[in-house]
Parts: sequence; C-alpha cells; structure tokens
Amino acid sequence: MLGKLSFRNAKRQAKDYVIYFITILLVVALLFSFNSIAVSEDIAELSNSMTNFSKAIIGINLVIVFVMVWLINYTMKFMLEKRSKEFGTYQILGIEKKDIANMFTIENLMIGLIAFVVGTFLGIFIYQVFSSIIMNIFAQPYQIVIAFDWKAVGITAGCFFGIFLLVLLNSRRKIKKTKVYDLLYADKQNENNQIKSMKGNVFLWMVSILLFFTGLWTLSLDFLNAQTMNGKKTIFAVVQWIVAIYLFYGSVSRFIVKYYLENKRRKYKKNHLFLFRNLTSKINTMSVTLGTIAMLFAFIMIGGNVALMMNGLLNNEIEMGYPFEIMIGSVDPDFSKYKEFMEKNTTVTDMYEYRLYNIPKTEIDKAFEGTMFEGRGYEEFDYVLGLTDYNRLREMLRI
Amino acid sequence: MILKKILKVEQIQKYYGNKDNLAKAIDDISFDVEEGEFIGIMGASGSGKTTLLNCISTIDTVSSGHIYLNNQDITEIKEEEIAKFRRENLGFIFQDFNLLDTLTIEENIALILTINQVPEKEIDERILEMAQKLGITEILNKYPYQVSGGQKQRCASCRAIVNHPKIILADEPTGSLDSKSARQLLEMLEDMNQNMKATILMVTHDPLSASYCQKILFLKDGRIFNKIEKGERERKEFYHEILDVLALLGGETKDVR
Repeated sequence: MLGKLSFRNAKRQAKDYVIYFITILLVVALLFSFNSIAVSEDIAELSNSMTNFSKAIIGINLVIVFVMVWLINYTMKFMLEKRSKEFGTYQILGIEKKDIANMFTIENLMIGLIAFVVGTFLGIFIYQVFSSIIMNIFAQPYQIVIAFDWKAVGITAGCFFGIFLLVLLNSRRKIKKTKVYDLLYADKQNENNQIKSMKGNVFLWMVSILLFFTGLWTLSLDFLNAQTMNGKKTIFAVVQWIVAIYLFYGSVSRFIVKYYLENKRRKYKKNHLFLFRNLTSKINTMSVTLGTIAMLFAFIMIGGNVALMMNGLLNNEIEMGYPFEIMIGSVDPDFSKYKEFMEKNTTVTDMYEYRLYNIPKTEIDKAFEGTMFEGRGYEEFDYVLGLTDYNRLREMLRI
Repeated sequence: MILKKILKVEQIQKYYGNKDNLAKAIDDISFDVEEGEFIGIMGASGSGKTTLLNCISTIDTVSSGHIYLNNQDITEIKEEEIAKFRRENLGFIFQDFNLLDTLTIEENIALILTINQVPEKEIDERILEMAQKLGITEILNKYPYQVSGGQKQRCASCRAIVNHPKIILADEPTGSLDSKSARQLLEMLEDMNQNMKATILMVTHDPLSASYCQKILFLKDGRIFNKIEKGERERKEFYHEILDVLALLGGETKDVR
C-alpha cells in the first residue's frame, strides 16, 4: 500500500511539478552534453591545446553542478513545505516517520531516475549540436553520429545522483526531525528575519560594498604582473564577491522591506502592504534566490566579456603578426618560382619584394620590454630594412 | 455496570512563550472520559480547546501534568513508539478532512488497515461493512476531490472508526460543512457512538453540534468553567441548556443559528 501510495504521489508530482521535472531534465541534458565534449576523442584530436579546452569544460561542469545542488535543494525544500500537511496526516494516521521518509525517497528517486534517463537522451542531441559547432570552428568535416559515451554517462550519473542523494538524505533528516504539530500548522508560519534593526542591515550593506572593492583590489594585484600571475588571488577575489553579493541582497531586501513597513504612510499606500508582507514571509529564501541569480548573471557577464576580450586579443595578434595575405621569406634571393605560382593560382593585386639586412646586436630590444613584442627578436642579430622598403610596405597597408 | 475509564487527564498545563511573556493556553485541567462516552469540549476561540485536543492526540505536548489513555501515559511516550501508539489507539476527524488526494475514498480507509497489518482478505470486508453502515458505498471508488465536503467528512469518520480505536478525536468536524451535511454527520457520529460503541471526544464551538454529545465541558481561559450532562433529556432541551451556559460564559450567543 505504501509503495502504491508513493508511486501515485510520484505520478501526481510529475504533473504538479512539471517545471521542477523539466529543469532537472535540462540540467542533466546539459551536464551530459558537456561531459560528452570533455571525454570526446574526436574533439581531443582537433588540436594539442584541446586538453585545456577539456579542462575548461570540466570547470563549466562544476558551475552546472553548483547550480544543480542549489536547484535540487531548493525544489525539494519547496516540495517538503508544500506537502507538510500531507506528511503530518501520515504521522497522525500512525505511519512511522521512517516509512514516510522512505516513501519520499522512493518518489523522488523515481522522478529523478526518469529525468535522468530522458535527460541523457536529450543530452545526446545537445552534444551533437555543440560538437558540430566546435568542428565548424576548426573547419573539420563533421558527420552526425549518435555517439553514446559510457564515460560521460558515468560522470553525469555520478554528479547527478551524488547530489540528489545528498539532498534527499537531508530531506529525510528533516522529515524525521520535524514534529507533527509543525507539519500540520506549517503553512501558518513565516520565515523569521534574523537581523531586525535598520543599523544591522546598513552595516551589512556597507560590509558587502567594502567586499566588492577589496575583491577588485585583490584582483588587480593578480593582474599587476602577468609573469607572477597564478590565479590564487583571482579565486580569493571571486570568493569575496560571492560573499558580497549574498550580503548585498540579504541586507538590501531587508532594508527595503523594513523601510516600507516601518512608516505607516508608506506602508498603507496603494498595495504596498500586500506586496511587502508577501516578501517578508519568504525573505530568507528570497534573498538567497536573488543573490544566487545575481551571482550567476555576474559570472555570465564576466565570462562573456573575458571571452570577447580574448577573442579580440587573439585577432589583434594575428593582424599585428601577419598583416599581409601572403608573406614569403627565403634566404634564396630568387623569388621567380613563387611569383609564377602565385600569378597562376591566386589573384594578387600587388606584390613587393624587399631585403632584410642583419646587423650586430643592438640595444633596441630593450625598448620593447614590457610590451607584447618583448622577446620577439632573434638571438644573434637585429634585422633592419631600408626606409624606402618600409614606406612602400606601409603604403600597401594604407597606413 | 462499572465503566472503564478510557482517558484520564490529570492537571495538565500548557504554556507558550518564555519567562517574560507567558501565555497559559491550558491552566490546570483534569477530567475523565469513560468507555463509550460522547463528550464535547466547548469554548470561545482562544479558550484552549484545540490545544487541549492537540495534547490528548499527541500532536502537541503538555508543559506539565499527565494524560493516560487506556492506562498508558502519553506524556511520557517515546518518540519511536508514538506512531504505533497512534495507529492502535487513536482515530482522527479534522475540520478540513485531511484525506489523501492521491488515494480513492476506499484506499484512504484501507490505508489505516494496511498500516495496522490487517490481513488483506479482511480489509475489503471491513471497509464494505463500515461503508454500508455510514452510507458511503456509492462513493468508495471516487477520489476526494470528486465528492462533497459532507461526503469527505463521512469518509474521514469511516477512516477514524474502521480500526476500532480506543478513542476518536474530532476537531470541529462540522466546521467546514453546510448545516444539512453537518446534521447528517452529527447523526452519524451519534450512531457510531451508540451502536458501534465508539468513544468520541469532540471539540466544537457550535451549540448544535455540542447538543449531540452526552456530556459537555466548557472551557474559558484555559480552565474548565462548567460541565453539563444530557442524561435522559431530549436533545432540544439539552441544546437550550448549552445556550444558557454559553450566555453565562459570555459572548458566544451570537453564534447561535
């Protein structure tokens, strides 16, 4: 009977919590597709630096896992609260707490398992999309193959069920701990607001702002010298920002609510009362939710900007290093064969031939110290070219 | 015939709050319930009647005093034994039914038998028998959301009695019902009490509901204010006595229909 009950509950839940289900499903799908990329041999063969790429994907996985922990915990808590009366009824009927916890576990495992299976299949297709994009970037021919990598499945399953079971264990503990009275009357309770005074909120707010700036300062220390940069300070800065974001949202939301509820004229204006009272009843969860979303947005924006910056940097470097379409260097002064080939096969409009002379090493490379040209000189000589050649080349580049 | 005392409440108290701000929800209440009694607890809101019921039903705990049910002290029952105690001794009827939405009416009733490990063969028989007595055979295969409030409460009552608990605790059972359904339910409770020997403790603020009881305790500010018995009188007569006590109690007469 209890098994039947939990099966029905799971079925009803799947209907009630469609959003929860779809979210888990998408998270699993994303996690699986990223894992597939990380372990894919096709992609690893693309380039030597692909191991770094795989490492970056693992980093992204960590972020997804973090979001997953928060998401699953949040929804399970939400479900527990929503169903507290039901659990209270079970207890009143004389069902052992252990059995109630088991029932909840079975239900959630069923939902989790279905989400995992469907999510994995969805992930296969998402992986195809991602890998075709990557292959495209490297201009590789690509065929769609329904590849199913057990290693990726293993990693995904490990992450997903690891988190799922941890959260579930926590929920079980809660079910066993909560008194039946609290379960039956749970919907009548509000979350309590820990910091009651305005001053406390303002103080926390100032601390959060301070942390933003100390974070910035720590980060700048890391970027002062590119040679000694090891990322430790960057991580420290990120930690400071995370704390700052949560503190900021916690204090500001409490401050705003307090500000409106303390003054009766503000409180009773329009529908302020209804709005702010609804906010206060769930203020702890709400500020954490806001903080988490803000943090993710911050990461997305920082990540996006860094990606754009790196892209610009690399493109720039290509432009600087190789400004012409075709450059041929040779110790043999006879270029006629090359010229002939180019005239046959390409549509070159302008061509110029010049000589480089080597002279004994000068102090010139000292002038490049600290710029991106540092260390680009040749070992024994410095190379020079004639001024006419130089001007002609500039003309070709229209500068 | 000497009747067995099924419930003994001894000088219980229930406080809320801390030292500086103490609220006494129950202030030294003692009474007994005998086997087969239909006893009502009345009082204004805030008089402590629901708290009292919660303490007896192991939903809440007392601050001091003892409650004996079938000679077992429920104030000292261990956490691991409480589920067993509840399923063997208590039947509940709530104001808002507390039926499980995922189960049909029949399954709702069957659940209590399965958790008491009644053999499968017997379950069906017992449900049918009880459903016939309570007039809910037609709706057994429906889900709670498909039936009316009155029918839900009948189902809840059936669930409360089907395992023959030592005592049935009812918290405002007519509170969510219209007057016709309320009357039907009360007649049913009366029938359960008289013909099926169920002991019922009912909390209510409605004088009409209370008039179906044999004995009524009136609470005021956490204390027993008065106690009346129906005896051999007609229900109508008893109803008027209740109204008189309520008038004395102050303020409740406005609830009279």
